[in-house]
Amino acid sequence: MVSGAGLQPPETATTVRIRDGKREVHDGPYAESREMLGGFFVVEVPNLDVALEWAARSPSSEYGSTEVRPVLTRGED
Amino acid sequence: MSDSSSDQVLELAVRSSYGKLLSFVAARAGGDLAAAEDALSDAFVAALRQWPIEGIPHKPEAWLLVTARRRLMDFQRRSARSQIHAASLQDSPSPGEHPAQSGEDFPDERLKLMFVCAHPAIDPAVRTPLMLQTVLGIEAERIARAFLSSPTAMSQRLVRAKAKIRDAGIPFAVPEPAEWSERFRDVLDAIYAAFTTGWEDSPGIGVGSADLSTEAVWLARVIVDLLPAEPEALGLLALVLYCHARRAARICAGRFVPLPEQDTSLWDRSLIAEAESVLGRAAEKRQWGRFQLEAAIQSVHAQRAISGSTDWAAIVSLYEGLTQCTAALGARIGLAVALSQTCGAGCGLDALDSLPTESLANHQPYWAARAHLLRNLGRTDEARKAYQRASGLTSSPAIREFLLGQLTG
Repeated sequence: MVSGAGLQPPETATTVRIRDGKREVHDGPYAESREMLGGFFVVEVPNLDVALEWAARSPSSEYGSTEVRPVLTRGED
Repeated sequence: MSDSSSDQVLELAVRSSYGKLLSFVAARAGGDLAAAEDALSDAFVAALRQWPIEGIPHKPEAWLLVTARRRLMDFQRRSARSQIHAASLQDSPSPGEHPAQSGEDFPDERLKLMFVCAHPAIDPAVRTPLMLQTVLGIEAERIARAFLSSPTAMSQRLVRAKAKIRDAGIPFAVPEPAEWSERFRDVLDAIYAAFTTGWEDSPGIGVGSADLSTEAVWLARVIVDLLPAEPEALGLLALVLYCHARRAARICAGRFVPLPEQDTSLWDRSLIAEAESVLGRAAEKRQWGRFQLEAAIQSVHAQRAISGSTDWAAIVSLYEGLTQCTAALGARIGLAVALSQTCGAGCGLDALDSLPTESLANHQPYWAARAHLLRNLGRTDEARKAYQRASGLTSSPAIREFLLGQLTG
């Protein structure tokens, strides 16, 4: 195995989109059923605001959306 | 020290310090609001037990804070999370040192807490309940009643929001200057929603009702205390004070009385005077915004108590300004009603007809305004349908009764 990680539940997700050059942030995972997972990045950051800045820089935020979800860490159930 | 005086001190501490204590404890508990609430409520229980016997501490808030932080450390030692957050608790005072005696103060971090509650990653519908619970310490059950939700459903939404704050790592911080204006507007919107929820759905009938408008005024005072130079915070406080001042005249003997028909002698003059002075402070900054304009509209209405008449032309210009700074339908409906006073009901109805139809189907103020204008134009059948539609869209019995009464009146 190369790599892998568990994600925290979908309730912890936040979705970022860029529309008309403006960042839109929403509570929850991406909702449209026609969308699909196109890739992932793992970043280590101190808090959600920094993670949202990274998500906004992802090219996919311009045309699709980027979901930010915390990774499960050891000691958490 | 008698029981009753320690009870009073404790109650005051709960009312005025809850948010201050909670934000300080939660920010140092990895953003875990739920754990901080448990620890704080344990501290209040300990105070109820100890203060009547040992006397009220010199600094009650500091006593509660130290006790809550010790409880939190106890919880965390016992839980699996201990390794994660133990480091953040290293700066806690050692058991021997007690700021209640040493006179140490702690910073007021409620502003950070308010930004957490109104964070864009939090569902907008839960921001106001979250703020009411964490900043003012209002029980979930009472919030549920005000939001016409079941206590279980409301508690679940609050629990989920707090879990998200902790697990997604929403920071306890005020936003960067680049994000400030948008994030600050979200905070003000959440406070204003507390006011309108109390106002529209349960307009202060009887003691112990779910009315939240008093709490919303409190929240608006908190944000002005924290940011005394922010014109829109001042505008929001002035707005809620003007409206709050009319409470007694708005519902008389269980009946709703519309603003133009209210008995101005029932308006609270001291609240109006305070609103005028707060709005004056905002105007000195010369940065107009939505809440200041809405407050200015209420200020014109308040003049009726002195002049006996309403300057509708001034209200029209203020609403025109308001529609420039917000896309909210309410502003455009207000403009239509004001226009009907300056250039006739037909003119007001034309303004209503120009609104985008897709968002109007369930908009209660739109149907109430439309019904009123149709009736004034003598279009009785259409007015009746609109009144019925408006009455079906309100959850307030007093307003429903008023609307249905207009059909026969």
